[in-house]
Amino acid sequence: MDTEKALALLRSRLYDPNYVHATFKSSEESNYCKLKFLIMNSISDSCNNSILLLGPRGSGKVAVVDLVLEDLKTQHPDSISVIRLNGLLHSDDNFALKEIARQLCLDHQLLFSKMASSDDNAGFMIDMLKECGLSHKSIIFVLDEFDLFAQGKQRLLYSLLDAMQTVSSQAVVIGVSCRLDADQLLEKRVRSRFSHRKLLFVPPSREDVRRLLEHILYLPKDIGLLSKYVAEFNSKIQYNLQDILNDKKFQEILDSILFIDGAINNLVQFLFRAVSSMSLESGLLSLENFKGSHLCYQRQPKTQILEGVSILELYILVCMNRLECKEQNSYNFNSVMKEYKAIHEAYKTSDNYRDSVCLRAFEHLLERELIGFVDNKGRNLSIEIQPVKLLISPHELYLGLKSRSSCPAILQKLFDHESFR
Amino acid sequence: MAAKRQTRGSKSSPAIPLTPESTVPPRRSLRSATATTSDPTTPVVPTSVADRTPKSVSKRSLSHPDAPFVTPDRQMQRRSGTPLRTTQKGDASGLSPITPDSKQRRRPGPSVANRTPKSASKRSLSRPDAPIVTPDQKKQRRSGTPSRTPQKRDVSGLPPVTPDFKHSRTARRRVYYKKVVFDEVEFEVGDDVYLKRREGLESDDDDLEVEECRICFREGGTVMIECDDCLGGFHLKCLKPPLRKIPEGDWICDFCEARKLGKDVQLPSPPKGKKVRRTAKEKLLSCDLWAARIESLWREPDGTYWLKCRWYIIPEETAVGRQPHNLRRELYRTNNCNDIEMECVIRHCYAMNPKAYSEAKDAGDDVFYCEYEYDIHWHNFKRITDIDDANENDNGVESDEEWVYKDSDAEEDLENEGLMKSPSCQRKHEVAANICKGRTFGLQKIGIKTIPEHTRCRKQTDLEKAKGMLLLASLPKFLPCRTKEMEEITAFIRGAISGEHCLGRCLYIHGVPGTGKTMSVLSVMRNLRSEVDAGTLRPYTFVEINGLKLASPENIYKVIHEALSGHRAGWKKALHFLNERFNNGTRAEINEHRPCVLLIDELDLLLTRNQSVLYNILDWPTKPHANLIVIGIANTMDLPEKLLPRISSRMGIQRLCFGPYTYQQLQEIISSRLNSLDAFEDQAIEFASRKVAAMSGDARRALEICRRAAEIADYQLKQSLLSKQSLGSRDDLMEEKQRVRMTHIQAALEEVFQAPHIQVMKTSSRLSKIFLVAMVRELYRTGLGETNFEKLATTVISMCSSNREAPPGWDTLMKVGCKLGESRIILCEEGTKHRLQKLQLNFPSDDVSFALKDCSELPWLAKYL
Repeated sequence: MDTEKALALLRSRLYDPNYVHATFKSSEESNYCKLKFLIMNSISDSCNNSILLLGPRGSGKVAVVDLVLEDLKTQHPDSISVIRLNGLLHSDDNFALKEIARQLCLDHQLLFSKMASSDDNAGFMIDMLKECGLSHKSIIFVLDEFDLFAQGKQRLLYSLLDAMQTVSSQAVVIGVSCRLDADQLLEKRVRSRFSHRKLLFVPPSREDVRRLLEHILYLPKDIGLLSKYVAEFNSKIQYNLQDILNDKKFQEILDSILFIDGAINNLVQFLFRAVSSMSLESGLLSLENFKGSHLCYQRQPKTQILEGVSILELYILVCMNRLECKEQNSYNFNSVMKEYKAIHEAYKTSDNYRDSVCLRAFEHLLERELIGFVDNKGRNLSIEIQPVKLLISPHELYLGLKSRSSCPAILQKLFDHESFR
Repeated sequence: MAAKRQTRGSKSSPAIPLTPESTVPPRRSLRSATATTSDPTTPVVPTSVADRTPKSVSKRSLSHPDAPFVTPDRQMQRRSGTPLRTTQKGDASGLSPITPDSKQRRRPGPSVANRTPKSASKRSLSRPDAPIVTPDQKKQRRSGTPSRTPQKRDVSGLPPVTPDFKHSRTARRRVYYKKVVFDEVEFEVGDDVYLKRREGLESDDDDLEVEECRICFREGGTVMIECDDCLGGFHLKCLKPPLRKIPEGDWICDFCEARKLGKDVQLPSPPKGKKVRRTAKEKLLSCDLWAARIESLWREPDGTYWLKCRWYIIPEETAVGRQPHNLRRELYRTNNCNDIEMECVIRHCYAMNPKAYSEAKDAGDDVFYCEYEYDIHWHNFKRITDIDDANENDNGVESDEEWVYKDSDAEEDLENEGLMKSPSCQRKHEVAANICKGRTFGLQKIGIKTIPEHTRCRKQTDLEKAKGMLLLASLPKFLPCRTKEMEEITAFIRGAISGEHCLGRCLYIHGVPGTGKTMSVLSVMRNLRSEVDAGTLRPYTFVEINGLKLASPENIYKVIHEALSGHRAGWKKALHFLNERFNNGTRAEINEHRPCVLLIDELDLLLTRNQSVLYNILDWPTKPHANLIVIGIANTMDLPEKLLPRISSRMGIQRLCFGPYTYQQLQEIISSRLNSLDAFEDQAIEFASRKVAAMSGDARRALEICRRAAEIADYQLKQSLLSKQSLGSRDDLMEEKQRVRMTHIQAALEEVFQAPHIQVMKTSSRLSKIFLVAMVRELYRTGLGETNFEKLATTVISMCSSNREAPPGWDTLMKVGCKLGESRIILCEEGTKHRLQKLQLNFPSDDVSFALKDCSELPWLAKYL
């Protein structure tokens, strides 16, 4: 019972980005503090600001915004209204204006009309900015996928930012984007009105990772679990040198994960898999869990697909590889079949199939995207004569062949023959 | 109805039956009686009035020569001293509200005084529905219990007012005035006045003009000081120990201080036989008087003068009650209006906006602070805008001296509906807020329930003030550095308008963003506006359009049409009307139409495929009777050249270029905004302006950088204060003074101008670093910017294996590549192309080598760079 509870708690923590990013709330240099200071200032000084949050995906930009807004909402309960837009949904200016009007109406219990024209909506937005500015209310626009708003004429951004520099309003525009050059995408008259505050989200340092792990994995004492169990669980994670966080093996695993990608959500995914595989009998995390999770993490999907491929399909792949080695740049099904026939002639293999069978195998490969058409031009052509390309590297093919025990020796030989290693 | 007409008429006729029930003499008439008893011809020099040097705002002098006391003699003085403008016109009935000689007006005074009892009683008896607030009604409305919600009061208060008026209006027209002299005092629309509240409460002579000392209970004498807490006045010499001069800053009297400490305080009781009298201010603040703002003044057909007033309320009367940050002299303006007879007016008071209030040091005792408007239906607050006032003034000037009521019942009804409607009935007819109609009334709801404390009682540091001054939205009083251009624009517009027939002309203004194009034009228009008001220039209509704010270029017709005629129409219809007006206008029609100045911002956005919109707009001014002036603003210099020849020829040759600001100009702009604040080091400003001038010459950018720098400095200061507080060293908390230095400007500049890619490269994962280095290597080897994934992967794997790193799998590498592509450090095709995916560095390879040369995690990278 306790173990299930603990597992559920750990999972819900990992599932909630706000909890994960709350780790860095206290440190002064964190983005959380900076952003909070910026927004707080624009609320208390009643001024307008525009901020750009940049950073790779999974670095917690939106989570930090959420945390900050949550905090501010508790501090100033009725003087903040948040408008959220997403570039993927609202990159069309008219839609975006409508959505803004809708959310504003919802926030202030006004009646919203779907029929209003986009001019009306724009006017309404500006009026609201003014009215809210007069009544000390801040409107915070969170524009996720900001780069997608910076397409076309950028009417939305222009009218928003222009209103902010003329009307006595109190608004903050927070642009969130993973493109580092997002502000360069703005048209110059829009850029000139943008106030260019930038916050950069970078992967956490090693100490921060450590703090993050502790923050997530330690069980709290006051949620109704047996205190003995909690103590045991926590001591297992880190008590002395033999325990998980100090284990050399664990450090290596962590290192290899950070080697590839240090973003927080990457780490969280790794942890989630490890926590999910926790055994319910002992109720404790063990190093094995983390090892298993790391194995999953290291999987290479392309090579794994090769394991399920039939012998004939392997023949076709090898043939295509041979063709490429012969520096034949453009080939289609027919030329592959010619090569296949030639191999059959030369080595007298037992695997001789008819063209129609080969075509079906060929189609299978196309479906699995191990091979692909060169371009989309020849849509109406039949498959046989459309030029194709191998989408798997010789190295991966080599690994695939080697891992297959049932692979005919002739194929290995054919492949080795082609001067790869 | 008939009874009412009669009573109203009776006021002008001397023969009025005396009703025995009359008990309460109305205050106004009594006062005029006292006025006449004192000798009106000899002005009494106010010697006895206490002189106080006002140090802080609240310690205002009680006797300033211009003070608004209405001592009878003073009234006289003022009256005769200032030349009076008689504003009423068409008053043929003989009884003019203002006569040049004050005595004449005063003469009926005593007789009025004699009559007063009857009129008062009659009012309460025979006209229960009269717009005058009769005592019992008043008690209903504002019985002085602050807990009652104002809404209830107001709804139950004076409903029958309006129907009355409608009837009377249909009979004869009302005459509206801007200014009325009533009982020797000039009342103007927009003035604030005290209004009578409960007639029976205190008789008139108790109304005190000069405050008494709280200790000796004598008025006048020497200097008095005002307590900032209870607003009581004290003679300096009566205090214990006596003060020699007025202290700096806030001063709180001993009684208040003791009360704050929780002691039981016994205020000195007045000497026997002397009644405690209160000034109008005190009465107002204790709910015994009302204050209101005059919205309009008119004379009824029967000769009585009425005013429409907008009530002020004291904080106690709002739904939230007095908040701790409320000032003692604070009032709220409500959105509740009533019609009141002039009789109720006592005298002037002054509700000022914060700025005027802080400047008005000597304005006397009747000065109040009014920053917010209170919505009586929704119980919320809203700041009062200055713009609001400006508009009202404009209207006033436009429509000459006299406001003749145009019989537009609909308008009045609408207004009344808006004001009288209770929230419940508003909800019933609610219109969607985001359509045009709904915006007028729907947005009343927006407002804050309680005024947040942080906006009020906060002492701003210099840095915080500087941040406020540097805001783009805070418009400076004057615009430095663009005088020449502004003169040119002024000359252009003036030349185009002033002629007898307005020549249609075009002006094209171009310049990079942030060089003050729109701002200059707007400020020119403001200046011209004041010229129009002064009568030196023909009135004109000004239409401002922004090309980027139009949903489509064609919508411009709609907007122009709406601005010119006030009607909404589809763009095709609007185009038709506009063509009619501009193309086929005859001479006769021209005189009806004022010249129109059309400002089109972001002109280049109006380009359509066949350029018909621009053609039309630029074609109209060339028509003989169009009366149209077009000012186009855009960024590009060669816009006219890009247009079709027939359009560019119509655009004319008048161009005006706004060059980028030089660093001296930027410096001037920044320092003029910061004028007296000691928040920036001079070199810091110069550094910022030089940098910006070198990059773009964009004033917005320069201001934003300075603001950002101030923010950074502020952040550092606050953090250091916090850490100091936690350390416990409190002594030097406030002494530290932070100024914006070069380092802060540098940090701000970096944030604005530097792309963050270097930092991202430095902090990215090790594999991505290897990936980037491999890209650079590939670039050096082949000399081609573009490579594909297969080649790159082999390079990466060979690099890894030769440096004893575990070679990554292809799919992992793919993932890393796509991630770099997402943040646009490299440009790449979509990942489905796998090994054929094309890759390219998005930044110069030097940036990569700079970022990764001395990487501590992977020292071996350096040898590949």
